Amino acid sequence: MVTVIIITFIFGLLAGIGGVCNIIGNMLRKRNNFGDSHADPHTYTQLVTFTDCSERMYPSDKSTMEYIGNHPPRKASFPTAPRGDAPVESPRTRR
Amino acid sequence: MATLCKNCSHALIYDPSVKKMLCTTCGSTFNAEEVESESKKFREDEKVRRRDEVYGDDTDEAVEEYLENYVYTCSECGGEIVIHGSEASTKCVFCGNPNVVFSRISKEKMPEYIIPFTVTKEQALSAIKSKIANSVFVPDEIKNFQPEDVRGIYLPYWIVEAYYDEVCVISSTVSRGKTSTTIYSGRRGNLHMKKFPVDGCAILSNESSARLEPFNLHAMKPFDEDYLLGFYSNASDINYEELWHVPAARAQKIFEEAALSDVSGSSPKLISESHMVSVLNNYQYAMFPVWFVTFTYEGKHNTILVNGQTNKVVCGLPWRKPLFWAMTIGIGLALTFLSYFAFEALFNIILTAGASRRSGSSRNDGSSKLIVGIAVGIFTLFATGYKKMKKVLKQIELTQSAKTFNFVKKRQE
Repeated sequence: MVTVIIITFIFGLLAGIGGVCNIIGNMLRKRNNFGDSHADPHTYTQLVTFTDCSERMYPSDKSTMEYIGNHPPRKASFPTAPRGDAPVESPRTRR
Repeated sequence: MATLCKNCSHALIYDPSVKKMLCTTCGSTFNAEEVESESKKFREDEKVRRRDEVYGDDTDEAVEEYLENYVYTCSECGGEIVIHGSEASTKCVFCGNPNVVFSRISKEKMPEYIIPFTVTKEQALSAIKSKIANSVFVPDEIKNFQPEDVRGIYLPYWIVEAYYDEVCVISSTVSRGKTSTTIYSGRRGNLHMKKFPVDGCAILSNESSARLEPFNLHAMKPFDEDYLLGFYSNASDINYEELWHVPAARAQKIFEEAALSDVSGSSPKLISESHMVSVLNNYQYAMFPVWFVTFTYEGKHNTILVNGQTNKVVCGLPWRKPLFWAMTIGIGLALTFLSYFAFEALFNIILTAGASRRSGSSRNDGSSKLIVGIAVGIFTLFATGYKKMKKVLKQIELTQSAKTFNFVKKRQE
C-alpha cells in the first residue's frame, strides 16, 4: 500500500513537472522568442526527389552498408565553386 | 564619397520611406540611378591603410589592437575615419557625411545586387515594441527600453545554387496487433537549391542570419553604391568553405526531414547516411538590409535584429524571474496534485482488476503496458517542454552575443 502511494506520488510529481515545463516552455516561446524560424524550404525552390526507395530491408549492418554502397550519392556535373580557405572573391569587374 | 543634391549640393541619403535618395536640407528626392558623384571616379582607387601603418606604432600590442582597424579619408572634409573589420560604408565623425569606402567596393568585390531598405528606423522600432508590448514575461524595463544604437547595416550575402544528393537508411517501428517490429527502409534522392542566400559576414553567426529569412529576392536591384548612403555596410569576409558548408547543412536537414516523413511506421530514426553536395560556380554577391537595435538590461548588452525588407523581428528576451518562478511553482503544484489524484484512481482500478485475475494472464500484461505507456508519456511531456525552453535560451544567447554587439557598436556615429 505504501509502495503504491509512493509510486503514485512519483508519477504525479513527474507529470506535474513535465506539464509545467511544457506550459511554461510554450508561453516563453510565444512571448519571449521572436523570429525563431528559418524560411520555408520552398522559398528557395528546393525540391526533394527520391530516386530509389527500399522498404523492409534485412536488419543488419552488412545490408545497411550494402545499400549505401550500391546507391552512392552523385556529384552534380556542373562547374563548381572553389573550395578551401581562400576568401571568396567575385572575379567580376566594375561596370 | 557623398552624393550631392543637384539643387543645393548637400549630401544625399537613401530614404526607405520614399525609396529614393533624399536631401535632408531642401527635401528634393532623386532615384538612385539618376545621381552620380563627381568624385566617384577619383575616389575609386583610394586605399584604406591599416591604423598602425598610419600612426607608425609597430609594437606588438599596437599591431594586435590595430589589426582590425583601418584609416580612410573622408572625401568631403578630409577627416580621418577609422573603420573596423570589413566595413564598407560609414559616416564621417567630423562632418557627418555618409561615406562609401570604395576600395572595399572595389573592382574585385563589387556586389552585383542589393535589396534597398524598405523599412524605416521608426517602423523597425515600432515593430519591436508591438511584439513585446503585450508580453506577460518580458520585464517592464525591456518593454519600455531606450535603444542605445539603431543602425541600418547592409550585410553581404552570397546567393548560391547547389545540388545535394544523399542515400540513407532509416529504422522505424511497425505494430502488428500485440507485437511491434523494427523495419529498415532505404532512401536515395536529391535536392536542388536555387538562389539560396549565404551570409557573407564572418562575425555574425549563421544562425542569427538564417532567422532573418526570408528575403524577397525578386526585389533585388542591380547594385548602386548610392543605396548605401545613410547606412553602414560590410564587405564579405568569409572563405570558400563557408560557401559550401552552410547550404550543405541546410540541404541535409531538409532532405532528412523529408525522408523521415516518407517511410512507413512510427518513431523513424536515421541510422546511416552518405551525401554529396555541389555548389555551382555561378554564385552571386549581394547586400541585404538589416536593422540592428542595441540596449542594455541588467548589465548585459542585447541586440535585436529586424529584417530591413520584411520587418521580421529576431530576438530572444529574458523573462521576469519572480513571475516565472511563481507561475512555475503554482502551476507545478496544481498539476502535481491533479495528477496524483488521477493516478491514484487509475492505479486503484488496475489493482482492483488485478486482484480478481489469475497471475500471468494477458490482462496483467495490459496493465503493465498501460503503466509503461504513462511513464513514456510523462517523459515525452517533460522532454518537449525542456526542448522548448532550451530554444528560448538559445535565442536569448544569440541576442546577448558580445560578438554581435561589437559588430554593431564599433562604428562611426
